Amino acid sequence: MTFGIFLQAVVSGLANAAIYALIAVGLTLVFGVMRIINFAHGEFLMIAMYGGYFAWSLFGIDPILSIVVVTPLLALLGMALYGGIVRFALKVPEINQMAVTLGLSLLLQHLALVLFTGDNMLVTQPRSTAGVVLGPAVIQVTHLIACGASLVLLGLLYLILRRTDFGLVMRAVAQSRDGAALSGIDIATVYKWAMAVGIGTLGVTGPLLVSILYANPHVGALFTLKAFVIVIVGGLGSFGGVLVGALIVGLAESIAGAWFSASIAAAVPFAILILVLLLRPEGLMNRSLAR
Amino acid sequence: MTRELDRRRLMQIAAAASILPVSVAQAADPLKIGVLVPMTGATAGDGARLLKAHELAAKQINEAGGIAGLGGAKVELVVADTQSKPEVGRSEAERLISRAGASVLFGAWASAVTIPSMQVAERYRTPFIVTSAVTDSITEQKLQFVFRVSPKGSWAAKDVVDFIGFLRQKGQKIDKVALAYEDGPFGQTVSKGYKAGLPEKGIAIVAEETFRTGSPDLSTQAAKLKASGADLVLIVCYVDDESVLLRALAAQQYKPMVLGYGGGHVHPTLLKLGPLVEGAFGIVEWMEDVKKPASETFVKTFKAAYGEAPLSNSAQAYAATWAVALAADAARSREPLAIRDALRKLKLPSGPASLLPNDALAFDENGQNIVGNVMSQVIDGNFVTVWPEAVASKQIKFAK
Repeated sequence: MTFGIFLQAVVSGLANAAIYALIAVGLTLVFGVMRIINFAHGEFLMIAMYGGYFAWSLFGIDPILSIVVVTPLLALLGMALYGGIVRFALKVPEINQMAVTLGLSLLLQHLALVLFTGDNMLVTQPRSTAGVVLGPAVIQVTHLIACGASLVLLGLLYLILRRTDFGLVMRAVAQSRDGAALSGIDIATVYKWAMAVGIGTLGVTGPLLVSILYANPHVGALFTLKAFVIVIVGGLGSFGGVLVGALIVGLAESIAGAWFSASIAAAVPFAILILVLLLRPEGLMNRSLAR
Repeated sequence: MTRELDRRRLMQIAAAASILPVSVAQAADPLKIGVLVPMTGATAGDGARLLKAHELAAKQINEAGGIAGLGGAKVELVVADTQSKPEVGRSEAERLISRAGASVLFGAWASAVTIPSMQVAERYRTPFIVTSAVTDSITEQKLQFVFRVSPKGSWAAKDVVDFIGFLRQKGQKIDKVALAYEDGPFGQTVSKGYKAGLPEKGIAIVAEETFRTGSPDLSTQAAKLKASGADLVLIVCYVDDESVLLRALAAQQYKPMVLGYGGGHVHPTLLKLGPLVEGAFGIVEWMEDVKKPASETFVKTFKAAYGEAPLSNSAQAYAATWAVALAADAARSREPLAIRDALRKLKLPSGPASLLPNDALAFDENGQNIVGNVMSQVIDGNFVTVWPEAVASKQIKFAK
């Protein structure tokens, strides 16, 4: 492998890491605050991708602009998810909670199959085939945009969690549910907003990702598993952990893909996961959202 | 006493009456053909498509007066659902032959279901026509009752070699070939054929890149393909990944010739990429625009009947149905053995069964139809057949 190819793998890995982090951050936020694992996270990503696609194909709205429409929609869906399903699931044992979100994930996939068929929907714009040359490496313009948006959004989320009352309340509930409740925090409202923000972040990811990939009913599932690996490697519920986990998974996958066959590269994130679970089961960055 | 006698007499009459119509009507009894297709399960959509073609052929045969050699007997399709499962395929094959009285079987879409089903037919000495499965071994086991309309999977490599020779003749420079495929059973099987077949004919494979289906980014693979300096990139994957790969190649400012594979390439989604896929080649078993009279008629009647364009597998199912009707006609018999012998002698250079891209539909001593693939090219935003020249609907368009 030449140095040029290695550099290309690093650049691609970093770009992928940014996209992965953007997907995983919502998952870890919901878990950190509510202690519920949302297996349907990828399906909400899929919905956001369709949102971006239809805004473009029906109304000619550039995916970057459609973020403004799709994000509030996804946040509303997140609230509906809390009010309609998760609120009740919180009262049952964890294994039942998993079954509920897993069932929801399959239900949404099949609904999408009925509504949109299994065909791939593509957003085609002049920039979808353009690349920016960085020395020996090339980064696709659509990746670069997603990468930039991811950094901005992650920074914004960090500031919100750290500097605002809203963030303070979130962190309080994450640290101790009962303590927060005793201090007069309305837990149900915090949960509702955590879900709105957690799912709402996908409203940014979806339209950007659909201009890179394609939308089909199963596209979300491609990312769910990877997002879980990232979240667990980094430490469940940890904001910094998402960044570290995404960097490790994105880079390892990309560099391994340049060296070995794709099947081996695809196994690398899971090998890392097993190693982390054995050596540091709490995750690499076990400082949770709370602290 | 008399009452007892009456009853016995009555039963005799009834028994005679029940036998009589059968022997009298035998000449017009339908020829029963078992159709093993997945109507449910993972490949349900494919089964429905095959069945449409079988039904269209049966309708045409019956409307034209049935099978003359059997006194105008109609073709009756007995459909069985394999549920896309090998074990169901096997038991349904058994039922079709031993209880439904099928003289011949068609089936059974995927190779995994076809192989156990055809073994049942072999045991019952009943002809089994494989319509679409491409696993090589199906016609390499010296089976006496198995016939196949579709080509062997490994023949794709041979056709690609011939096509490269053709391109070189036309003055195209193809010295280095690279391979990019999805690292699953599909990509591995087809690329194994390429890796064995191309170097044998002196065509060097200079790079081999693999990726997982659903990869969000193929820039690294694209960079490596570019670094290999290949003139032609052979791609074997599903249409999702092909669109990601072609975009990554374009971002690298790398414009080799590309040749995709089968239904993963000749797919409406790919055309949405517009100028990016213009000129791209694809290897496929049959195309709607294959220039043969039988093919043109088939496409017209299929569209009129179902309001949609037929895919390659529909053409194969259609050809198989006609071949069996013609074999039964020649054999003048419903007996599986007689039909088998007639199938072996069959040679159909014209007529409805001749729509596939070979000179004549005929089965060799292993029951294999000697049929190749065709090459498609995206010209003005449509897939058109450009090779072999005998069935091409348009000339190849080269860049520059």
